[in-house]
Formats: sequence, structure tokens, C-alpha cells
Amino acid sequence: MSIFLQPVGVTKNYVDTQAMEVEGNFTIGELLESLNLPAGINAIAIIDGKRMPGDEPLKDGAVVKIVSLVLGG
Amino acid sequence: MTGNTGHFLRVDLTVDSISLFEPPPNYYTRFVGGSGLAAKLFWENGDFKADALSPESLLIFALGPFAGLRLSGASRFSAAARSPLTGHWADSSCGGNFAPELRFAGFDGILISGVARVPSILVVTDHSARIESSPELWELGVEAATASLKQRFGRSYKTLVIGPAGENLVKFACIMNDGHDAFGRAGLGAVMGSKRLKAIVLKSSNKDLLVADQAKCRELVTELNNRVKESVTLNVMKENGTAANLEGGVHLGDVPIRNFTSNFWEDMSDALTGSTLSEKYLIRGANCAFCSVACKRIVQIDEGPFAIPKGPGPEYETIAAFGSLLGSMDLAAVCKAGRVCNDLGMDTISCGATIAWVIEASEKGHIGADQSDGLKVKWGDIQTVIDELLPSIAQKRGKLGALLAEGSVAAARRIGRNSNEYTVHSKGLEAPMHDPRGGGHGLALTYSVSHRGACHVSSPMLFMEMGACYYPEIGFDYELEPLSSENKPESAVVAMTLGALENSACMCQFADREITIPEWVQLFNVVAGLDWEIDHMMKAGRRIFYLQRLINYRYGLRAKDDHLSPRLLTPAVDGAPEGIEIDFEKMKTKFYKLMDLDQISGIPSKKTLQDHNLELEADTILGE
Ligand code: SF4
Repeated sequence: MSIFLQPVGVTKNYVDTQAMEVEGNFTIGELLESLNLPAGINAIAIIDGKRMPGDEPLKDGAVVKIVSLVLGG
Repeated sequence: MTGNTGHFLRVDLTVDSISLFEPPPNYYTRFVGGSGLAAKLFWENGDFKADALSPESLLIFALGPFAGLRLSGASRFSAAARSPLTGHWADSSCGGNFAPELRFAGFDGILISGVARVPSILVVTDHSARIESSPELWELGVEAATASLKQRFGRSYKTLVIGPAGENLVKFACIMNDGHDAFGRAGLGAVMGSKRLKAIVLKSSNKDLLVADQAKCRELVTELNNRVKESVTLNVMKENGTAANLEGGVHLGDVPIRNFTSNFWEDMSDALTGSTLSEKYLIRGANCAFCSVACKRIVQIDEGPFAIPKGPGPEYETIAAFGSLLGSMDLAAVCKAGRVCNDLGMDTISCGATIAWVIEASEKGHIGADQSDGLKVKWGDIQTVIDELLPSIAQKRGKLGALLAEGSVAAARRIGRNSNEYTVHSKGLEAPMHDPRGGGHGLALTYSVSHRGACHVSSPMLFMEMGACYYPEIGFDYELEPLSSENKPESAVVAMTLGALENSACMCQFADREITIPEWVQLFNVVAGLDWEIDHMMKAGRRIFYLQRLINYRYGLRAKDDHLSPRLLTPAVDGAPEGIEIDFEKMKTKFYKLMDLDQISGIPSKKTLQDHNLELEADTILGE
């Protein structure tokens, strides 16, 4: 199935905006791991404006925003 | 003594006297420095009956033991006093270049009381100081006053200056270091203004710091500096400043929008984020002394209504406070508003928040034309904010300027008619620009139990919830889910204890994330010559937390005051945190239990105070 990856904020430094083919039972956690973001960037996935838990399976056609939790003060 | 010098300047402006004051050496080991040592000195020397803006009030500047060390993040220092904004204890932290210079001049801090007959400045040089009358500086903006001082004394003199807001006793006036860095929060600029002290200028010819173990210290500092240089997240801040991930923060629901009424605004997220600032207006980064991160911004805007010459640019808090919070996505306007605030000497957080309050209160019909001098400010209208509102507030001009100069909480009290529904604060201090509903529920807890009021730098909770730091040696080795209360009281105990230490050691919360707990201990030992184990250090942090709580108890604060405005505890209506409740009371009750804080009085038991060597303080509060 295909999903669409959309990095937001600092994750743009490490991930390209792109369509991506993934296995049918791929989870959010597996997707994040596959991106190989540097340690410390601590990204989560947001779909339809909501934060997704790591064990959530991806759905075909999902637009997945990749957002780092790292904030400045 | 190493690290510290053992000497404070004691200045009484009423009688024009300066003397040397040597705190007992055990104050340094028990209260570390900075905010902790200031609390102890305030406890001993402060007049608890004195109004914050009276001659009797005490204003303290205090360094940590590491000031002067060529270590990234070590050049901050504390200012403390009774806050005119909140009425209780406040300490504020400032970066820049003043702290190491004061240490090199031979001092650990300055205690200031009294009021000068005419506007004056304090001139500090190697092991000496003098008061000079300088009425010609009064009424000057920070920029002009700083330039005038540099011209008179020389460019290498470091300056602390208040603007017109401090002179006019605006309750959220700040103190500016060399026109860029600020003691922003809680109105300490007004305390300085009430003393008719326009500025402190400082120069030392010495550049050496005496440390307990030179070789080990050099080795440790090199190791930590290298780690800072390699840190992925700090390099992100080096490139795009503290707002580097504002865009991400908007998607998390952390960035407040239109007075915390919304948690998502996609177009704004890109318009205000750090990389946009870099692309459009950045000239270069700037740093606090000896810090390689250089998260500060130097910007220039060449044309348009918000054109500004090359100079200090906004950090994250200012961008959000004059951008999203006021319903604006105009980054040039934000840069200009920040520059104007700096020049007038006003805290951008409380100022932006107070303006957000008045916009909403006006919109909802609580502020009549008679109370606003006919001025109507709307969401996103930063031009009017810059041209009309900011100068009016700083000068307390007209009914509206005078009203807003009191801060949002006092202004709402004066207006009445339920306009306090739109204030967003804890203990009278306007909330900073991280909305705990999206940023992390632990932040709601630490905002509420922070001594100065809603404060994101009273602890590293923000960073702990985002997974940016772990402290396994003191039990924080687990991941936190930001939008949940699970494990938040336990982690808040770690966070508040460490926060008390950080603010007393005067270390920058960005750069010090790279320091492990054993390295913290080692740093204290090799610099200040202590013989600490982890337990000693953590006990000192807890002791400082308790002492500051006792100070607030003497100012009448109780457990019920550890609370947040209802808005921050009402589920978000949009964005990632939409509909999620913060289990605030449960977190607070558990935190109180873990910290042995009484659920009514808010202070610890006598036994806990004794266990933390606060016997005398316990006797003062609880009787012998
Ligand atoms: S990280 Fe930024 S605020 Fe902290 S010490 Fe370095 S330059 Fe200053």
C-alpha cells in the first residue's frame, strides 16, 4: 500500500516529502524506526491532526506528518 | 573559596553606601548560588512586610558557582526580589555576558536596597564599586541608555539597564543586559526602577577563575563542550534558534493561539517558525559568553512597515507571544514588537499575554470605549500594538496604558465582570508560550508548583516530556507520554529538584541537557571544591525548593494557590490535544505526597525541613 510522508518543522532536515510504498501490516512505530532519524529528534506521527500511537497499523493512502517533540523554550 | 569568591556587594542607595558582604561559607554549599543562594540571603536580609516597590525591598543579583567557566551554558545568573507583579517570591534568569565579568571582578552578586535621591547608576570594577548620579539617562530607552553608557565607559563595559517601563513601575518591566538578554519575568525591572537605579555597568581586568581542581576541571569542561558541539538538537537550535521547531510545536498543540483559545493554525506554523526567520531576516546567531550553541538571533529587516536595523531578534517566547498568541503570523511585525519591547524594557511574555487578554476581553464586551481611550485592538493587528499599545503601557499613558501596565491578572480584577475568565496564569504570572494541553501534562503540574508562578524554566519538565533527557541515576529512566498524567508526579519531583539546582547553579537549560547526573556532581566538586555525592546534590536541590516555598508561605501563599487558570485545564477544542483532559488534581495530590507537602498549607512537615537542614527556617514558620 502507499502512504504519503510529510515532515514538519525540524524533521524536514532528515525526511523528504514523498509518497512511500509500505507493507500491508506496517505500524506507525515501524515507520518511524525506518526513517532512521538521529537520536534526540524523537519524532511522532500525526494523521488527520491526531497523534498516533506506535502500534497503530498504517492505512492505505494515509498522509503521515512526521513531527519532532523537541521544542525550544 | 573556589568557583565562588565569597564576596557580595551590598548597596544601600538611600544612604549612598556600598560595603562588602561575605555570606557564611556554608550558605554556598547548602544553597549553591543563583536562585538558591538569593533565597537564603533574602530570607536573612529581606523585609517581608515591605512592598515590592518600596525603598525597603531587596533586589538581589546572584551568580552560580560556574560563572566564569569557559563552559557552554554556564554564563547565566539570577536576579531575585519580591515581585511587584505577583506579590511573592520571584527569581529570574539572564544569559549574556554580565555573569562571568562580575565573577572576574571579584563578586558573587549584589544586594541592593533603598532608593537613590536622583536617578543613578552603579559602576563596578575590580573589587570596587561606586554609585554615580546619572539623571541624563532617565527616560532613555534601553538602546540609547546602553549606547550612552558604552560611549562614556568604553565598549567593553557590560551593562544591565532598565527602560522607561522600569522607571514607570510597569509591573512586568524587565532588566536588559547589553540590550539583548533579559531578566524578563516577574517585573524585576520595576523593582530596579523603584530604586531609581537606571543601570549597572561592569568591567574587570581579570579573566581568571579559580577552581578547586584545574586539571580535572579542564578535562570535564572540554568533554562537555565537545558534547554540546555534537548534539543534534543543539545544532538545530544553532541553525534556527529556539523557535527551530515552532512548526512542529503547532502540530503538537503546544503553541498558544489567540490567548490559548486554539491549539492549531497550520499557515501560521510555517510563517513563524525558526527556519523562516533564518531565511528572511537572520544576519547571524549570537551567544551568551563561552557558549558554542549561539541560539540567539541577530536580525535586520530592510523595508516595509516593520523595518528594523541590525540588532537582537526574537527567540521562541517572543515569537509566540507577539505572533500566534495575538493572532498574527507576521514575522516582521513580531521582530519589530520584540525590538520595541526590549527598548522599552518589558517582558515580552507578560506583555504579549496581557495584550491577548485585553483583545479577548474587548471582543467579549468587557472593556468599554471609556476604559480603552477609544482604542480597539483586534487579533492580528500588531501595527496598533507596536504604535499605540506598547508605548502607552511603558508610559502608563491613558486609561488603557495604565490598566495594562498592571499585568493581566490585576487588570482583570480592576475591570471585573468575569474578565478574569480570559487570564491565563498561575499565581499571577502569565503563562509562557507552551500550552500544557499540547506540550505535556507534566508541564501543567510544574507551572502550578513553580514558586514564581507559571514558569517553563523552573524545571526541565518540558524537555523530560519530549524525551530530550533522562536521569537514570536518580530514577528517571522511563519514557513519558506527554498527553497523559501517568508518572508525571514522580517525574515532576525529579524535575523540580533538578530545576532548583539548575537555577541555582545558573546553568542554561538548553546546553545543560547534555550533562549527566554524575557529571553535574563532578562539576560542583572540581569547581567549588565540594565533596558531594549524588545524594548531597539532590538534597541541596530539594532544600532550595523547600526554602522558596517557605518564602511564599510567609507571603501568604498556600496549597490552593498551586493552581492554573481554568483555560489551561479545559480540554483543547482543536489540534492534536483536542478533547483530552488534564488530570490536574490527581497529579498535584500525588506530587504533594511525594514531596511531603501539606495539602492545605503547601509546606513540608517540620521533620522534612529538619532533614534538609532548614531547622531555623522551620522554627520561624512553625514555631520552636
Ligand atoms: S544555549 Fe543559547 S541561551 Fe543557552 S547559554 Fe547558549 S547561547 Fe545562551
